Amino acid sequence: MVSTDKVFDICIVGSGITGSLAADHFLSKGLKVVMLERGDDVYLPDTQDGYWFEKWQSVSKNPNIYRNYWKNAEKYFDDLVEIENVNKDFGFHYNMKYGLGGSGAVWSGASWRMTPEDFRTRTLFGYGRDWPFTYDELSPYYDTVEQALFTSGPKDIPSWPWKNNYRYPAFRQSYLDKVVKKVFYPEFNITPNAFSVKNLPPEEGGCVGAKACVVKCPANARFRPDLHILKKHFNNKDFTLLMGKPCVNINLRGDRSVESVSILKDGTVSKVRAKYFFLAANTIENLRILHNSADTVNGPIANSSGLLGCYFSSHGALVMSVIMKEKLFVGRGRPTTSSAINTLNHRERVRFNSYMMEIWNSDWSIGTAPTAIFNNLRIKERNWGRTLFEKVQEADHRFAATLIFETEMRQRNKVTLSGVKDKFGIPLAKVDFKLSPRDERTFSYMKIIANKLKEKEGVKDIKKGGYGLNGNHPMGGYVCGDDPRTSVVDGFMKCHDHRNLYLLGGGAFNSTSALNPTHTIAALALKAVNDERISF
Amino acid sequence: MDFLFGRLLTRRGFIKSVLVFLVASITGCSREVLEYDADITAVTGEDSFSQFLDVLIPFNKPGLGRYREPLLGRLSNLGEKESEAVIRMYSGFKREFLKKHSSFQSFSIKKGEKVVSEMLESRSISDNTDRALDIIYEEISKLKDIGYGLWGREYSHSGVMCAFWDNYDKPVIVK
Repeated sequence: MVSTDKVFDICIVGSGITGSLAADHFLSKGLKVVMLERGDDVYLPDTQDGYWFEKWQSVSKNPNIYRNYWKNAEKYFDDLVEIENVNKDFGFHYNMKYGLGGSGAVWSGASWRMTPEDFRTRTLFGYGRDWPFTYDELSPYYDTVEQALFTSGPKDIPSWPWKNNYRYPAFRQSYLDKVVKKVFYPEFNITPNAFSVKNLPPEEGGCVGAKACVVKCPANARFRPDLHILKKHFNNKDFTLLMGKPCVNINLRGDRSVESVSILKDGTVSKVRAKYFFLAANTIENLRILHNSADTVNGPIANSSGLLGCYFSSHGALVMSVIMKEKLFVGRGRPTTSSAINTLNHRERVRFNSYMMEIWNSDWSIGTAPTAIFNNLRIKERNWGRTLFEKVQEADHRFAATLIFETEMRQRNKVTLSGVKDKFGIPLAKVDFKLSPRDERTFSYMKIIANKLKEKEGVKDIKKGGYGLNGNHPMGGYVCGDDPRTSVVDGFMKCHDHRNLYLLGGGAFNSTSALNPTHTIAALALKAVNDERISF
Repeated sequence: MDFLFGRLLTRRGFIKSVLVFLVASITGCSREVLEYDADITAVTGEDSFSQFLDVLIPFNKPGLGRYREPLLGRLSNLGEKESEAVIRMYSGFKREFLKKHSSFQSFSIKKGEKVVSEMLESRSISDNTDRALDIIYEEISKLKDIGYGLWGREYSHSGVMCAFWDNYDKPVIVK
């Protein structure tokens, strides 16, 4: 039971990576922390299909509502989302999860920093918004994240844009990586990825190279906030964890500081009071709570700029099924070990967005094991006889390469509330996203690149395997800046409008970069909790 | 005739036999067309069934030959509907092949493939041919270790240590 009289030092909404880092920080200072988690379990699906691929189902056409859909979906995906006025194939199909550890429990572990240039796109390339701080100011927090999340990454790569001191060395590149490196060079320089996965010998608790690492890492070598941060605090008397308690809205005092958050508990609303509040759910969930908190007496929450929900975005992607002349021996080891990032700050960034290429250890568009490939080629493509068996053999020459591109953050792309409510009575998020002319130009350029790669010696064929917007990387929606008129949070992710409310997650991003955002999200969270204005 | 009387001993067999007789009378089909009534175990034992399977599965490829017997074992234990579909397709294949080449003595995979292609293209029989192919391919995909046979090498299973973790940066010897 939560005492309505009790006032915690810190209230954290969400138990994912940012919430866990924040809790760990404040608990280590001896503060009293309450953490609210909407899910009542840990989301760990039984099969690769349960996580790795996004699946969604249209629930209603008018309004256009869809939901993530797979086994036990209701337990983890009651977050229906309404989509309005989007490019048909570039709708944002929300793919985050509830439960202890949040999506961090099923995170791939890709641990990229953003490049220094990504923080100054307006100044350097004439588009987007500059961040209110430089890469160098965020860099120490990245360093801490790489230690806390036991990141494994490379050293001494000439074109590497960062100076890292990774806790563990990078994973070896697979045979496939080496073949691709040879064939795609020099346009794409295939280098090892950084992962928050322990690269240690298996007997020392390191990665065993199981293909299902994202789903259930059999060695617990992949960083999980629930296992590797929260668990150690379970017996801490200063830590209160409330599971299965969705946060409904925020309540203000007369001076516009946050007094409490309302949570649903056994069908009734209770208040949780604290001195400081950290919304550490992901971008979409934070925005739902904020939009749902408009107070008729004390006014809207975090929206004096009128920009709450605006500048929402995610990464664009073009998936290629590449067939090489040489055999690749795919389907072994981690799902991916390498990428090409030499294209991030390409010469024409004034005209085209940043982009990179991910190399996957199989062509997952046709399956990741020979029997699955065999069944797919029979059932979906209706192959038979020698052709069927030759194509299965050919799969050992195939891999998936994804061209990931930055999208421009624009004011017109926004998250608001839908008129439809979820099972708790909280309005759904409504996403209105449209590619900008610059994004369209970049997407066309990605297609040109795919066609050019086809001509490479060593490539037999490239089939375009689909494209769209990444449902795992919501960014923007409460952009950061120094001016309260043009931003929602400041450089420490504190709301301009409220002295004790901090917004963690990707919502504070001012540019998307072309790289996975988790590491930057974690670094921003550490920057926020280290804000010197937090005092007791 | 013995076969027919044997079937008449059961009520189900009686109804089926009457239906077969009626359909055959109306359409003017010969007994050969209706061979799906035959026994799957006997059919899978025929030499020409083995040739039929060679058209569908390249058992002559390295690593695949050892799956022929286990597959025949699975096919001879198919349920009634599945057996019927496979026998129907096989009967059609036999009939069309004999129509073109008069005997199986001149059998080749290429000739067999042409027959199956034409069966798949023919509107009147393609549905059943496709269904029978689905059944046969589903059965082979259920065989133990077939993944090894399909790629001619070991591969990593989800959730267990990678079979190649120590040397996954090197090529694999394919047997």
